[in-house]
Amino acid sequence: MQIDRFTIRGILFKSNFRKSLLSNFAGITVALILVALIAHYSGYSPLSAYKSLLQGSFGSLFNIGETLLNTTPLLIIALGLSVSFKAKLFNIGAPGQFTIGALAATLLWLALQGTPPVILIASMIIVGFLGGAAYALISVILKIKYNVYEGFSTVLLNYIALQFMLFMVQGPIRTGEFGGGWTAIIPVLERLPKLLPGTRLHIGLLLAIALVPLILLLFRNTIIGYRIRAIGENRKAAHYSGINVNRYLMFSMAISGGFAGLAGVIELTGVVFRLKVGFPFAVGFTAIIVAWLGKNNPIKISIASFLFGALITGGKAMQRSAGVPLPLVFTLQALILLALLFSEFIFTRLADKKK
Amino acid sequence: MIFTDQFLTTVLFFIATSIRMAVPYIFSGLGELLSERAGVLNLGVEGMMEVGLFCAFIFTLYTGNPLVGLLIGLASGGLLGVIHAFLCVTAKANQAIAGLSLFLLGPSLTSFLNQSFFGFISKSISGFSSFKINLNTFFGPFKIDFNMFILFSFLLPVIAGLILFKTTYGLKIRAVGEYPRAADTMGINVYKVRYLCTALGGALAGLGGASLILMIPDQRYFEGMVAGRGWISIALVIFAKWNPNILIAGAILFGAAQALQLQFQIIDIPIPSQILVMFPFIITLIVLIPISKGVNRPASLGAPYNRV
Repeated sequence: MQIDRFTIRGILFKSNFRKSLLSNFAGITVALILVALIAHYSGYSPLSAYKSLLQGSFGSLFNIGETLLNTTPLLIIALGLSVSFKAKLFNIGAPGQFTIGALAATLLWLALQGTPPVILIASMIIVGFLGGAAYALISVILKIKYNVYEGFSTVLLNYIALQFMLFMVQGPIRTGEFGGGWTAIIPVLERLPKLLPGTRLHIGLLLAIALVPLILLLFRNTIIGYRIRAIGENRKAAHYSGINVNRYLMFSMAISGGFAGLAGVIELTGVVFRLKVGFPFAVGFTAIIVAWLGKNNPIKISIASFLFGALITGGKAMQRSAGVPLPLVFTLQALILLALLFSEFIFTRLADKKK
Repeated sequence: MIFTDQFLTTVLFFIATSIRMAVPYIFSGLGELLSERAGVLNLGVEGMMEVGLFCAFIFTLYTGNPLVGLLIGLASGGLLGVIHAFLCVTAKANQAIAGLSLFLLGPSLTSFLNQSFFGFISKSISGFSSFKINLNTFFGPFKIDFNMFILFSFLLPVIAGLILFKTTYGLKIRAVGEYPRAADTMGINVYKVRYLCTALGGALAGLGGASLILMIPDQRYFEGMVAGRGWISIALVIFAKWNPNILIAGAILFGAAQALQLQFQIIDIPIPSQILVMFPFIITLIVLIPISKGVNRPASLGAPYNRV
């Protein structure tokens, strides 16, 4: 498609990269404006809200650390989701798998009291991964055997996992009096080692960053990645070309759930240090947005998870200092997704008009 | 002995509660059914219910008239439905993601507005007035509420079934859902039909949300009231094989699951409350297993239509 190089349209849309960059920029801007309007008409000053948001996410070393802290689970989960999304498996069960992973690790921790910390942490990580993977496998097996839409079963399993975790944490594995909602705290020696003094950063961030090239390699250089992509493009064609579709569906779902469970353990041993009623369940949903915005590309996902991590951190600060309720940030995230869906369409239309 | 007065009234109470719990499912399920019959998957029902619920809540609170709240709730759901329609029909985006974004928007926006304007106080409003019947059940005296609204909600699927299967409009909708290309060549405006059905579906979902707070008088609003009902409504549509008449039965079934949960909580059975809350979801999951195979879904469900 020839675009005259020196028209406005030509300059704007010369390359796909430029087009998507502009479209993303436009979408995010629109979302920011919408949220500013919402904040304004709810009686808050958008300027002070956004200021405290920026301050809270980047204003000091500690805050940047917090941002990276919030980025870590997002990045891990989103990377895992990209694997299942590439296979066109709609895994909306990340929050549930996240929770189950953390729960499994907690149970192991309770059982293995007294073992040397390195072994303890390592095995908790493994168990968390396996727990999340197993939980995700439920959905994919239901899909394979009974044709149950996984976009559904995963969501239902989310609610089930949440309730189950709440039950455990207020019942069998709680410490403290009846009705309390938390387990015992993981002692300092058994937590993830810290990275940077003056922040709460832990080595989980390094793990998350290490996973990025891993996934990149998986999809660029391995046969497994190739087959998963083939299944995602055209399941029937992949089947006829001899790929064992079911096996790879299960594999990608297991990776997806496993990563979510892994993020759960990391969050447990690095930040929260106990399983409790307020365990960040919703980060799984944010990760879905991140994975989608990153178009299943690990580099873009890294950028998006950093952005959204900053939003979460800034949002909490915004609630503390400007008194703006935290859900505004979640609204912003959802609106960003919506706005980007819109702008993608609009910009594609603009670029294609009148060939 | 077994069929004592008390036993019968207990059963009656259970049935009445099931019917009451079924109402939101009927509305939302019907909305999703309509949308899916035209070929558009709407995963944002949960968000639309939240928005409908919240709008119904505040407008009834401020005008004192539940009908106003109802209409605004309906309209807000419809607005989200139109957005979803635009994304799915015009922008031809991935229908699942479009729905999901609305699902994420609903609770966060309503949460924010609720916390901004009401803090953490839950207020109660008077919904539609109902007449109460006193029942003496096994577990103590209970009242059941019953009103015209609930009755109306059961009429709606019957009407929808008539429209869908016995009129030309219904035929057009079904045609668009099955084979939009053929419908297009017959002169049916596929885009318009899908827009209407999706918007109406959203409005019904908003109605379902509104019904949660308007069904009976003195219902408190609290965050997270919808509690997954939107997702269960989507499952309900599959369970009902996209047939509104079966939808009624399915809605009562899921309503019964919730009524059972409520009943167990009241009578203090030693099952922890969280397990009880899990109950409807587990049932939904189990129910999905036998019905998902060999099911006759509208053939073009989930696929964007290109007129080219």
